[in-house]
Amino acid sequence: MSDSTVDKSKSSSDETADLHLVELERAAEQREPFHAVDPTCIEQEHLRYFAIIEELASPIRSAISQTASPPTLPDYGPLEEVGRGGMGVVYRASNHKTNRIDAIKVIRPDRIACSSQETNLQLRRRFQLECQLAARVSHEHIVPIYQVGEVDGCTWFSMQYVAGPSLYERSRQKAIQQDELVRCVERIARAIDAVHQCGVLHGDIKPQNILFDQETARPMLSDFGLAELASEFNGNANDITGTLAYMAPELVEAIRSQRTSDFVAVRSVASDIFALGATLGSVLPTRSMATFITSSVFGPEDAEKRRGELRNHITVNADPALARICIKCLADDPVARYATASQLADDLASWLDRPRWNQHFPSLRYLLCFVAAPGLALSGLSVWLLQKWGVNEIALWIAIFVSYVPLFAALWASQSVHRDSERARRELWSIWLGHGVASVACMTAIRIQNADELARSIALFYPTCAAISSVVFFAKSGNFWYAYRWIGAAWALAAIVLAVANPISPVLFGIFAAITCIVVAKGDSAFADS
Amino acid sequence: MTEPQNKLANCMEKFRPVLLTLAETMISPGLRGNVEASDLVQLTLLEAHRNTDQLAAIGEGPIFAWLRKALQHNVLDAVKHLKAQKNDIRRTLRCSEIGESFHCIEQFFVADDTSPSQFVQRNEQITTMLAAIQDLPANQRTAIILKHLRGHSLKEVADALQLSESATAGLLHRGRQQLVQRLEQAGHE
Repeated sequence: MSDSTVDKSKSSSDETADLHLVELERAAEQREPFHAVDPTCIEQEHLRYFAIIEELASPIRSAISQTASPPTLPDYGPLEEVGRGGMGVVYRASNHKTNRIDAIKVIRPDRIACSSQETNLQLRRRFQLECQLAARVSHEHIVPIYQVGEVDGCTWFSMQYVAGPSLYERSRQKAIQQDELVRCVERIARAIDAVHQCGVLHGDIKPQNILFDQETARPMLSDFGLAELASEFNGNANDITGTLAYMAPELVEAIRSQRTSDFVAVRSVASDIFALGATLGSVLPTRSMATFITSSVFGPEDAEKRRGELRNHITVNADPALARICIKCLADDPVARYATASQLADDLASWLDRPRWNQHFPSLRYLLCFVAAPGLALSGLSVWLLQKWGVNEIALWIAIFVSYVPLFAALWASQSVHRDSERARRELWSIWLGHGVASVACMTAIRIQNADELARSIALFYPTCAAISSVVFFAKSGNFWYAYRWIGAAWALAAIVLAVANPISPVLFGIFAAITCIVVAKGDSAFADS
Repeated sequence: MTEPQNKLANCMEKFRPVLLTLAETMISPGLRGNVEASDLVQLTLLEAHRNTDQLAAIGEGPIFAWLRKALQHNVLDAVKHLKAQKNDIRRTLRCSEIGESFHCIEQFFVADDTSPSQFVQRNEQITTMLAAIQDLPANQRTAIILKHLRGHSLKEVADALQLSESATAGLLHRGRQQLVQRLEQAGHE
């Protein structure tokens, strides 16, 4: 049946009914109830149909038309829209009393999709309560909330105006270095720890919520303690959408099982830690030119896939020590993550303090490759030659231990150059001092036992020295480059090889030491150019 | 056809009218004639067909999300290539508006298969309504879309349809009646 036939065959009574419908339609437009003494059938029908369709169509319409005009707030001048989020609109306005520009977030009433007025009211009260709790939070890296109120049925709160850009934007524009990024997350982690101690959880940590203050360049975390409630306030999972990508697996599981009560119960310090790790991981700059494609997260299945992608991105692009920190945050088991945000901050801080020798001695890498490595090889060769020619024993001792001189000289020099890597320098100093003292002690002991056999003493000394080196490299693998453990294992093997290759063991030792030098110079990121 | 492919075909058939209504809503009356909603939906479904392997493996919610995303790209592409020879500032503006609208719509639909059952039901009803709009006669459909989805007043709708206000009010009422009937039917099933 087409409309034209309907229109043509319209009787006069239909036309009267249509005129009546115009009145009803206008009344509905004005949102005025149509007052009739005795509502007729058509009025009741009209009201009912209009209400049903309007309820379903209004969310789509408000998304498309976006015509909501800003409310007028007491103490504030005209509101200027600066952004839109899942739960409301963010405005900027100047406060008459304080003469300060504040950011104001207004929760749009048409976004509240609650079945009954009662739950609506209840949620609104809880929201205000939560705002008040969040307003108590005070930290230099958290956007403070000033005021909470209600106007025309809209809940609003004012907070410090931070113009941005957000961490997300900066990482997208590649306007942030890895170290600055880690320092930013470290500060945010400290802020979160301070607030966790007040018993407030954030629940929506993501790069979009970390804003940089334009004046001080300080990273600021916004929306504290409001995010989770906001999604409940909406009565749907709208706000969860932006966050699924940074959401801990236990929360995703709670959503999957469709138990909102579980979702609230499962939220913990550990889920905030996960979000911090995911935030850091997702904004890490890629080493190659290819950018990290953030796959869209539509549902829990995608969240799982994205977690895998994220871990992969971190292991490929981050320094192994930093990757270890991130991966620990992203553990599936909440217990396996950091217990507190401050522990995470400590680890990030110690990563930032990692030794960067090349910054202190710009050409240290080349010194290692082209001076130290040949020097060590030569020292081995000279020991072998001196032994063969039967030169004085003191000259032999000097040839054996001369290679320590440049090492200690470098460590000594670094003391006056830079204070940044003080802890690492002290550790290296004691480790290598230990190596030197132990080697001299071994050589002396062996010489005492084999007083008349110099050749045998030297044959015994080199495997022992290799074993001591093995211990040293294993000790270094804990706090320095992880591959030192492989070098340690190689030296343990070398100890056996040197014992077998008796007459030429000094030469072999020199070659092994030279190879180690080159491998360290090439592989250890502490020697990398910054 | 294998079972997942069958499922995908059913899914696409189910969402075709929903996408049509969304596209018709997005494309403002000024653009009609230059950009055809049905062509764009057809293109979107064709793309979905080409990606059968990828889509057959996922659930209905994600498929719907995928289709919306693809539709968004197609609508934006169509608007961009409109008068492509001229650098029209209004076109850029329109594109950003449409992009923003799709983004907002996404906020309502995304995670629809993950949320509390009450919301799932509501989303289901919205989807049913959007699909049912396509079964209305042409004038009723346009009237309902303009009035309820684009938020125009009775007078504006009447002007757009070049009908009297009383005739438009009748169209709207009958259109809503039919939609409510469809929603009730769907509720009983």
